[in-house]
Amino acid sequence: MISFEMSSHQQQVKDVVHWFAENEMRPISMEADKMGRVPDDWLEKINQLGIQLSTSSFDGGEQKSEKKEKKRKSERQGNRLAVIASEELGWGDPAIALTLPGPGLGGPPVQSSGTPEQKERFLSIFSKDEPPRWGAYALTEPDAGSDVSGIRTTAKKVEGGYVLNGQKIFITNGARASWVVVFATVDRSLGRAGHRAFVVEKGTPGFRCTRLARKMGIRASETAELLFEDCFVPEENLLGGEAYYESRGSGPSGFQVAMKTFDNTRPIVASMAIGIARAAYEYTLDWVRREYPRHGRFYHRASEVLANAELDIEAARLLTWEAAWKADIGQPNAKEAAMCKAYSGKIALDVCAKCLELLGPAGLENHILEKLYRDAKIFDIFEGTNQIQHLVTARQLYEPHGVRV
Amino acid sequence: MISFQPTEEERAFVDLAKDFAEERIRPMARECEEKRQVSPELVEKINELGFLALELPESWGGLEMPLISQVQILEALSFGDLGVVQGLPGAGEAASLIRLIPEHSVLNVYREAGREGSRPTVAFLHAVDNGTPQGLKVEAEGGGYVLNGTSQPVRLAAFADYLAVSAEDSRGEPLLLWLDKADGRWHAEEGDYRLGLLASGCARIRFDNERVSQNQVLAKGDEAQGMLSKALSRIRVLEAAKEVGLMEAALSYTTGYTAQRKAFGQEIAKFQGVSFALADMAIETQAARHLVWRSATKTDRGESDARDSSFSLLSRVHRSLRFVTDSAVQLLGGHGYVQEFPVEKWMRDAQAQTVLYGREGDLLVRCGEQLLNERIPTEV
Amino acid sequence: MAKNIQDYTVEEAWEEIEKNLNENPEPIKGMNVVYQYDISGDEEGAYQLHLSGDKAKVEKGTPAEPDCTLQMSAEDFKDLLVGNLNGTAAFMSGRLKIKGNIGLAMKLESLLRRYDTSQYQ
Repeated sequence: MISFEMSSHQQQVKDVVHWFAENEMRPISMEADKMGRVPDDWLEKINQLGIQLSTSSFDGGEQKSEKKEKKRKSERQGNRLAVIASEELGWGDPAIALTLPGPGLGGPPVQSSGTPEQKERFLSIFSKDEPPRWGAYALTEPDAGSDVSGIRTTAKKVEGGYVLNGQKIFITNGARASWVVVFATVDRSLGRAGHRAFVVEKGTPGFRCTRLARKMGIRASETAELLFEDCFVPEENLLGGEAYYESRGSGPSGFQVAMKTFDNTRPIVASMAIGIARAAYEYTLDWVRREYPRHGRFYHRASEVLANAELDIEAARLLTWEAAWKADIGQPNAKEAAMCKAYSGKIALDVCAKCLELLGPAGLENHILEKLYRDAKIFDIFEGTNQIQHLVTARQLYEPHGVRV
Repeated sequence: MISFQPTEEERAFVDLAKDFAEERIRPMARECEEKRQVSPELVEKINELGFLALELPESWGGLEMPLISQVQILEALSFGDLGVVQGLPGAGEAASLIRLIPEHSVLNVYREAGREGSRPTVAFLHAVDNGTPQGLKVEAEGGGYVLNGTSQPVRLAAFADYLAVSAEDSRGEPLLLWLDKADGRWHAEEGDYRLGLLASGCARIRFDNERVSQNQVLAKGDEAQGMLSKALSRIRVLEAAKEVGLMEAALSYTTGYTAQRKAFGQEIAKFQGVSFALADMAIETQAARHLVWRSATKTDRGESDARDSSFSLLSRVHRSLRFVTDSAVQLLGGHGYVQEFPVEKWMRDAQAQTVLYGREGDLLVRCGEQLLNERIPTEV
Repeated sequence: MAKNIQDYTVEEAWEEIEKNLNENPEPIKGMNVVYQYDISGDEEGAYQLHLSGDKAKVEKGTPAEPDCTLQMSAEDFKDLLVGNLNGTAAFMSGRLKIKGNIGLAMKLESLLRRYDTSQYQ
């Protein structure tokens, strides 16, 4: 049955994450933006509470009680819970959200393609009883962004492993991460079939962070530049193991690993953008109610802008929920994931801009709104630019007609 | 639990409607437009399938479906042709009013008239819009009212045997009237319509000192206002659903066309100027569909903001409809503009539809009003 | 004392909590809160943890209006106490439900972590 009512569990998650966003994230938001980092003691505290950014937080609970979980034949809803929670985190502060301890965007590739041994080794390090830790995901290079097939970081097979050479840029939490999923090619002439994904651990000789980027927004989030110079990675760190790539013959490869990740993470990124838009909308609605004259041209204009913003947000949210729902029921969702990301990224910036317009010059002064605007723009770019989302959407639309675009 | 899964029953109905739309409605669209009326054979078939009774109460022999089911079926039918769907006879929009008061004695004659086979046509005339009279004057006189003047063009007016009229009398009291052509007189004045929805029986209604007695009054005062508000909320959601059907038609036709049409040695789908525009059409259509579903479920559940949501819904879906049908014409190029292809008609129908059902800007401001908890002065 | 937490009954577990909190009241200093636990399953029942005047008192039943209520199974309750189960994870997977002041629930988790529970694990 079609329904947009949250179940009591979904509503609970929303309420609790919202509480966290409002009471823990918002108070440090402007300061973290100014400092360009999330305070360490805050991260320690949060980690001790067991709060992590992990796309797989929602369905499992502790492994210990796995047998009990099986008994409950409830519908999978991890993706829906993830987008519900992400919207609240985006509402709180997207830069801080991206800095929450945990495997982050590195989680999905390990989860979906790692061997059981790798999952245990890389995912078990995130614990509230240990210092906060992070995982990261390194795909983008100076000459390869949206076009994943263009990556130049090389992986040369040697005795017992691979030697990596190359550079990665725009890597969220790249410097602080305990490990980074790195995409490299064993042979550029093989194209996508030559791609491999490696888990490179912090402190591996030949691997270092060379620079942190300064950005328009999400300044509290660490955006690193990583360098690999004759960096030896043991073969047990090849994601999925040799067999994973051999069994697929000439078919998918590291490219598949990278793309699978996107179908899962795009709705999450989209919902954070929705959270930003909602934060701007709620702030402005409140401001207009308090500050605007009760009549006249400005008020009229404000009502129209706000009504539109509310619709944009609702429409984006429903697209995102649909993509997450499809993932939960095990249907392909590449098109929906691309559509919700394209739409949410666009409306987030648009809503922020319109809200700033309503505040006028006052919006420039130490206002959450101008920060939201700066933060929002990245959501039209990372995890696939708006143009890439259009390309993916169009590709899916034309597929039944036998045309590949 | 958040879910986008239609029920089995809904799917069965939608499949039936969609097949019918493609096989029977679409091929007849041009002919119906030229004749300015939906062909009687098509009407009979649609009536047999029950598609004219989705909103009517069960006690009237209707299906009394929840809105969430109806919107899916109406979308599927309108995928065939919106112009045909809007020209279908029967209770039309008045069904939403009837559903609220199925046992009302004023409706008895009409109720009986539809017992066998096809139901006579009703046009729903709004003689007042948000406090502003729309060409009609209603004066209280004796125990009844006297109607004078000419209305704005209304859908189905040319075919109507009955009229549902929402109005305000000269003292500003809201009224809902039910007029039967058999015991009253009105004149349907068909104008020279060329834009779109040409089979939908658009006409102005003219009254010359038409006397209306108390037993033609469905409700007055707050009761009338409440009833109208509820019925209009439902109508907005249903109209928006039809618009999504037209958007889907335009999207799917344009996808097929651009996938085979070649220029500069390749399918034009391979040019991103084309494929990205198509992706935008798809996103806009899906977003609109979801918003319709959301408003439908809100209304079915009787949520307090269902009415406000219907205002903003229709305003947004109008905008999406214009965008998607215009994009279709644009992507077909010259072929989009000529009548050998359906998309030029769809763009015209779309524009006529958005004009008939509320001005976008006005609907938005009304929704904004609710958001800001403040009435906005109507001058500006 | 080398007894695993799951070997305690819920009532015994509460006695241990009360004892531990009162032996080392530092983390509950200055608090004035009533937590309620709705335990489901084999050892179904309601308990209240009253923290005030730097003292902890456990009551069976619902004598006072709670500030924050937590609902879970007896088994999860015991695992949560000693940190075998992560409160956030339990919550996210729907095994733990919270009513009332959410902030207090989060505070409780960090409060309990300040006690050494290794002997129960």
